[in-house]
Amino acid sequence: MDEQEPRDPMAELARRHYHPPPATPRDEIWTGLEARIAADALERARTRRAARPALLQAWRRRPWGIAAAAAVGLVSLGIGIGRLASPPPGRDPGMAAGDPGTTGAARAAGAGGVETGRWAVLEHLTRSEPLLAMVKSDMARGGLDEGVASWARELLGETRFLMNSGVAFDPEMASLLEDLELVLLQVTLAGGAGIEEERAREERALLVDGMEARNVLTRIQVVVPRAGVAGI
Amino acid sequence: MNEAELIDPAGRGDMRASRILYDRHVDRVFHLAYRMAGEEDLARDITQEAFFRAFSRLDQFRGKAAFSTWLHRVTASVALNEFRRRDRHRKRERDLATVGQLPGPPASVSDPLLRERVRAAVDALPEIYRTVFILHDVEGYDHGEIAHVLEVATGTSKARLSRARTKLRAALGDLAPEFA
Repeated sequence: MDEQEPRDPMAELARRHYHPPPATPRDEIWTGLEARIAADALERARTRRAARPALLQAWRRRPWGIAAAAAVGLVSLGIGIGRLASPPPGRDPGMAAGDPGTTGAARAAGAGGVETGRWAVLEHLTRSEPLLAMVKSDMARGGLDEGVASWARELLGETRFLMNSGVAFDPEMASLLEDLELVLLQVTLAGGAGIEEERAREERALLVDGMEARNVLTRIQVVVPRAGVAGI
Repeated sequence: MNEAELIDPAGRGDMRASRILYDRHVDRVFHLAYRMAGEEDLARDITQEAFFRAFSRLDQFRGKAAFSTWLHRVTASVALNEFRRRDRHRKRERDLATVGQLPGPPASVSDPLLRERVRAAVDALPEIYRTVFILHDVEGYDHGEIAHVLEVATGTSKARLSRARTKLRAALGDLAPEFA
């Protein structure tokens, strides 16, 4: 309130009697907001997918150009992963390779590229969370949005890529990625089009069990802020 | 964690950062929405829409004003658009003369009756005056904040408040001598 603007006696009357607000229904509003954000993310994913035919048309027009670009991308990716997974300078590479206890993640840590790997995993988990929240909300209503399966398929591919690249920087994170992979696989199966209703019901039941047993959503919600606090 | 550290991750879709920002601001946003709407369902819708828009457009938040001021600007904008869409304001704006004729015994005013008199008088204000009156006198915003929220000059905010009070005094003057 402004110093130069003394409170009018009527203001007090209005504050007490003009639509005095009830307690804020925080959780109720948040639940709706979270679902809205997840639906928006799904819509964006659909838009991205709808843009893909353009790439297909480009392939038909100039297949060699696209193949060359893909090859360059693949080689760059390989170099990137190789750098992440290579031992640090000055260290005998044979030691790392010959030591059965040295994981890809540990080697990545030595390479100094581990921050990139951590960021990639955390970023991936952050993007997976809205999907899992939406699936949880959909399953509580007894069905799955039709676009969820293809969204989950995209994330599944990225999850497998991260698992295979060895950038999961500790056993907890590696285990979380493994469980995420399984849940995403179950989402693609439960939400897949053209399956019989009985089988779809069975897949949905398995998905509910899988989500509850592995608790992936809650674990992501714990791991990501903790990593944020740790400055990763 | 300070607000600046939360805005960037929230803009990238980090739901924890979004939740922290939400928890810090939801009460004031909901109160404003409720004061403007007068209905809980509508106030919830406005609050949810305001946060959704704010989180979707965090990249547009330049940090020139406080995050809360920016968020309240979004809230006021959502609320006013919603009222216009629903054409509520026309139903609400009664003739002040009619409000003045509502029964109003100052000697022993019962709360429900008093509430109805105040509600009717404030609702009868034209939208531009009512919004400033709610923001300033009811919710305690200062004129600088109102100027940001409504995108008007500070002087305009002061002038509208003065006009709103004058109209309310005329409508509610019989309730207490000091109002007149």
